[in-house]
Amino acid sequence: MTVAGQQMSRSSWWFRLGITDATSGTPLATGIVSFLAALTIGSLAGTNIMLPGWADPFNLGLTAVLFQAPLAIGSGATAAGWLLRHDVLTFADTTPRGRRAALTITTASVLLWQAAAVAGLLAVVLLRSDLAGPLTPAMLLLPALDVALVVAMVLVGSAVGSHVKTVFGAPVLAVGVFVWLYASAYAPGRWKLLSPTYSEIFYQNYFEPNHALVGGQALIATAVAISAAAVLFRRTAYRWVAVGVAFGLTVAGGASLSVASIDPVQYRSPPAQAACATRDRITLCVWPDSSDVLQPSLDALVSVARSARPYIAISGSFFQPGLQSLMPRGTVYNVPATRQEGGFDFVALRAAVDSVVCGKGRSRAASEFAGWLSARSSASYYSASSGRVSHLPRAKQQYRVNQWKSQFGRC
Amino acid sequence: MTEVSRSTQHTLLMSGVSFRYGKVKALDEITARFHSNAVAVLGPNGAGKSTLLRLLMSAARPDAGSFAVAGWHSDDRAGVSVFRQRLGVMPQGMRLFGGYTCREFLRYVAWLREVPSAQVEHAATRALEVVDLVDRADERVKRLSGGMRQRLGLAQAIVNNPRLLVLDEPTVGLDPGQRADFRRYLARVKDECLVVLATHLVDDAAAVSDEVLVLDEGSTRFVGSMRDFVGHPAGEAGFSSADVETAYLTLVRPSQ
Repeated sequence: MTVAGQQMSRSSWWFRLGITDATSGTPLATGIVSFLAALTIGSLAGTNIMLPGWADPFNLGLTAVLFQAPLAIGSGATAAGWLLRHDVLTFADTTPRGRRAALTITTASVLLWQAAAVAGLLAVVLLRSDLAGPLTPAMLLLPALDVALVVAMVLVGSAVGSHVKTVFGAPVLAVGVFVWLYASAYAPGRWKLLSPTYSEIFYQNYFEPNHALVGGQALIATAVAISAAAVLFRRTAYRWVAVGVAFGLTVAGGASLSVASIDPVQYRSPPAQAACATRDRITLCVWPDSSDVLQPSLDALVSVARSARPYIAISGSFFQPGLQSLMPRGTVYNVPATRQEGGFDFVALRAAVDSVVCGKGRSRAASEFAGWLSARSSASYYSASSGRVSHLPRAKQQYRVNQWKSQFGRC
Repeated sequence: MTEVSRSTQHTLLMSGVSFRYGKVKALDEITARFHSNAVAVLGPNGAGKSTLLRLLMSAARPDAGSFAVAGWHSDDRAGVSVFRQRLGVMPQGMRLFGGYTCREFLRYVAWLREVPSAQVEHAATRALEVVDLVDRADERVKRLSGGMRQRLGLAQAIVNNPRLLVLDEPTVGLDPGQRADFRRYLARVKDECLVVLATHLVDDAAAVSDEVLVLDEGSTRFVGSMRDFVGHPAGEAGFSSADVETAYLTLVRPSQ
């Protein structure tokens, strides 16, 4: 007898048995498949188009649930189904700890692998991403929902597997979950709230996940996990407590979803102080984590304003989206998504137009304005070929500009 | 007070035990008393042997009647956990965990049986010694031969030093040599606990058991000692298989 064996504590035994189970048999086989699939997704998914910050990589991790959740529910059902089909659960029923203990060890083993898969995928994606951006508590809801979904899937899979003997249980569950996730992502109207994956989101630094939406879904996923655990572990004394907690979480999650907008993004809470700069009577304020683009953006705005003088007087306040509360009388200035040459010029032009004209036709207004400015300056704002105006006398030009402005509403 | 609850001199006492699967009666008022440490439950397929064992291993409860075994009464639900701590079971269809080593598997069962953690390693080693598998302790179960797996099945059943050992067709699938070996290992443990062995192989019963219960279609055909069963005392080598088989066939029609 070893000393280590004698001194092993109760919790150590749980841990030791869990590790033994996780490194053998069905949990090992399904775990390796899930882990390799996660690493493959994390390695192959495109991160070059994602914006700086943590939200996009986290969202990519959550979107991967489309593949991870079917694997998780299939793994849980396969592992628990093995115990059922081969009479291990019947055997465990004759022991003092009962089938609950056998299922706990096996489910914990599957959870261990699935947790490793989620962590592995996120780690690979984060390593491949530009994290020089904001990280807010709402962004952490994305991996929280990711984990809650995978845990719920494992527990539901184990609960079903421990009751259904057919070997087809696991594949049917996996396909069913994939269909649900895929179909709900394209659901119409507010049905889309039931989709826990949000593909094609690019989180500008002033955006963060819609916490009412993501948080509500995480609460409901947790309720599903607790309900499945109550079915799985059959502990009568705790069952009603579990049902109560699951019901409470479902109500809270439903309430959160009912007030959530269908848009999976929302503005971050504005900072106490924005990063601002002023020149030539133009003030531009951006988020502190965009301060690196403050000067080039202001340069572009000033350049547009100088080119437009004396026909159009562009001045005033410009701000990055989400800072309205700090500058209620300003005009929105969208920092370009990519820092390419010329990108600042066009967004500055667009902001300048927005500060001069209002109404529906502002895109057309910007296009025409760009053409006019291109003819007046060396800057290449737009590919318009309206250089003829520059040859007109000043009075004529002013007339044209006034005509142009009159097409749109005054702000 | 019932007869079952008063019993102290019997190792196994059943009184009017009945069990149904839906409308199908699997056991019909089985009443039997046993005094020895080795009881064979004989009968053809579908006789009710496995059902009776399910009741004895507390995996199901009788629809009617009760039984007492190894100090536990079937109506005592509060005491079932303590009973299960000292229960050894070798089910017929259970698959051992192929990816575990022999020692890991015994640890797992010992944990399920609530063997104190400080005693688990010793208990596993002792069980492996009984079935001569100590040198295979760290070998994966899937690498063992069929005979070794059956021995490991017996080892897991005795890892908690049981008071009652329930074996359901333990030698099915073994060749004659492996069966002889298995009976030898079984003989080592039957002095320390009550062994209830369900089988349709009469030579297993002849070699191991002192008392016999013969079931057919859920009803009792014979209850008593092996000596009464075969009609004469045991020889030097015990009861012969031929004698037991002859006695068995007089009770249970060959066509069955």
